Amino acid sequence: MKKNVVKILTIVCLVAAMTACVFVFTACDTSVAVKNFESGFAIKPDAFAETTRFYIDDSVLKIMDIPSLFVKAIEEIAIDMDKTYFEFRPDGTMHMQLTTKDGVFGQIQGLLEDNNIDISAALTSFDIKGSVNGYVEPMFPGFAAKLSQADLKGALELIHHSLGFNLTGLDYEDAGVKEVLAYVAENMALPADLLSKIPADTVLQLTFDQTYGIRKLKGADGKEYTAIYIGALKDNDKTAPFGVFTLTEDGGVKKAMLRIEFMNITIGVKTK
Amino acid sequence: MKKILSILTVAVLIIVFTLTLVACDDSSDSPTIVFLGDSIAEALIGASPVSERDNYGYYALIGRVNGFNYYNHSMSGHLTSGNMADKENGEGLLQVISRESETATLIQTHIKQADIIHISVLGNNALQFDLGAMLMEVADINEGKTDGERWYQACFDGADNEASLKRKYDDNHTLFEYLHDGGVNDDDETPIRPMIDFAQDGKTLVYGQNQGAKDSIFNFPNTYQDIEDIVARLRALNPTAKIIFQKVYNPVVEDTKLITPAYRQALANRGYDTYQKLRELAQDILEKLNGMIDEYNDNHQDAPVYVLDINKAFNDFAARDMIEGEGIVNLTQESFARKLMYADYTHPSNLGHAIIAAETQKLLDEWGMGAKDALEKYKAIKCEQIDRMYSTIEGFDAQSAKNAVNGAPTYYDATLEYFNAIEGYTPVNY
Repeated sequence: MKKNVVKILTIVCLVAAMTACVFVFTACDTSVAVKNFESGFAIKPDAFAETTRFYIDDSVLKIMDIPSLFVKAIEEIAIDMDKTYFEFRPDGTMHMQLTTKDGVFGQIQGLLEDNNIDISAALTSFDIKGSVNGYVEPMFPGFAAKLSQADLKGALELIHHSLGFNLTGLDYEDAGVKEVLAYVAENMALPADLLSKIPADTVLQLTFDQTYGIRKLKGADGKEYTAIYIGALKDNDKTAPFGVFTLTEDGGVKKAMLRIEFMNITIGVKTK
Repeated sequence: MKKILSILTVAVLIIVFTLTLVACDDSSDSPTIVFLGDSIAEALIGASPVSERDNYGYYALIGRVNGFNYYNHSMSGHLTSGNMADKENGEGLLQVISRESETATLIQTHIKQADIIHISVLGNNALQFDLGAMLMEVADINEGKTDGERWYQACFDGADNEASLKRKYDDNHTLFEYLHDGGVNDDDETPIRPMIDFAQDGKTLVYGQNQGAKDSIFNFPNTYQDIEDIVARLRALNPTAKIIFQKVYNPVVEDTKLITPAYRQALANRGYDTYQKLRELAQDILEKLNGMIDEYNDNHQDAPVYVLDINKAFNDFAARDMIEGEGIVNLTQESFARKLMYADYTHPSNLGHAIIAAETQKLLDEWGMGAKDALEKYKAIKCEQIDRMYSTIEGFDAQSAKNAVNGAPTYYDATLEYFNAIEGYTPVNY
């Protein structure tokens, strides 16, 4: 009897040991694990269940030390706030657009003329060459070459491919625009009559297209935070990306806040 | 026999269950490293292309090759306190780590959870006054000039309040004392700053004043006290993390944009007529600036910070490239010293970041925290970049480049092989 009990116990222990061996290989395998290139497992982040649009929240928006009234005035004059938003989609992609108001370029020209404000000195003194050589070219190699060939579209495509930003709305076939680009290509400076060369009906749109992921995070203060992580690092559990929105909800209105520290800009957006 | 079998079985069970606990590459078990400070660490201006920040920035290289959790909360423009845009009311490193509330960026949380805190700050503190002016100042100190002989006294000649300005500035303090202890901002006086510039003819030097400059008497932050406060705050948040303080490198190379042509002429008139001589003067400034980290450790021998001497590392690397027959460091556009710097002559380049990562790796290895396969992971990152950004370029031999990287025996060698291979080629597909 004693012999049989010992035998049974031994077999049970051996089976348990074998089961545990299998467990070693599966314990880390959660159903959402995706093995990345280097090591370990990344996270499959959440996304908004439906396409969700956030519009600028002026109560939160802060651009450097520019007074909020001044920012509001610029919005009123120059920005189409209905066509300016951040949109997050269920497939994990996001789209941002900042749209100028219809006719704003004509209006600015008129405003400057009516008030005898001459910005030609400011335009011509802007150091395009220094800025491009010192910063833009190293950030986006090949940019200077394309600009020197008056190929602004191609230059912007480098930025679009690299980071997801783009600037659309400029009519590259327009004679005035061609003239400006040719001037920039030859002189690496802005022409004094830049504004008058841009067609008055130009509507410019700055866009940003990227991937995103929603992550629930726990702070050391015990609180829970919801982050919208922007870009390729959204599913990397070992780090955080450069762009991080803090997402909250207040009375059915979703709010998100992004702080661009190095420019001292706080962008607040909310659903309607 | 039965006893032995039972003991063996229990031992196997213990081993297996222990393996279960460690087998998962659970992020919470990996060391956490947090990067704080300025644009050098932020690497937005540094990585080229900027979209390769996570492949070139030293913060990411260190994090990735060692399998750490890594978080970069560095911010361009930050001083030890205040920032370049607003020294008095803006946020610098001290203010950021002292924030009372969190957002989803979890700065305080990451600091509290960190095993290592890696700091790059001080550079912007020194840039609160023109580098050329500071070089004039250190030349004065080296030459024993005092009182009315000091360079900036000549800047007030002919001013409406010449006498009071000369008296005010002649307080036997040097710029470096103000840099150490903070300057004075007299709000009740017209802001004015001594400045050397060219006259309209573009050739004649004018020792004059920059009217309207916000700082009246070399208004630096109280740099040394800030260092004390930063470390104290970090230790309050996290008593056990290893704190690394990085020393600032010497940025002076040929055609540097940090010294205006007018100051270069003024310095040349005093005999500092080569970039090597200017670099030596800059080194004197950096000894004083970086010396504050050593001073902190002298004052806190029971709890010093770890010092990452990037000043020495960059100088040593530059010294590998000497001008033949002259025994002086090559500072030309093709030199090693130049290649360490970004296009703006201020920030480290991709190569500079790689050197900083290599130096940090040495420290991690000394602590036993460096991953055993760190070098292999580093090589893999470089090979992936070769494949993606260079292999389709006509004339580029990607296989040779990868073979050279993979065959390198050390981190430094792999770095040199990579940058030698890609030199002269413009990356694509980034």
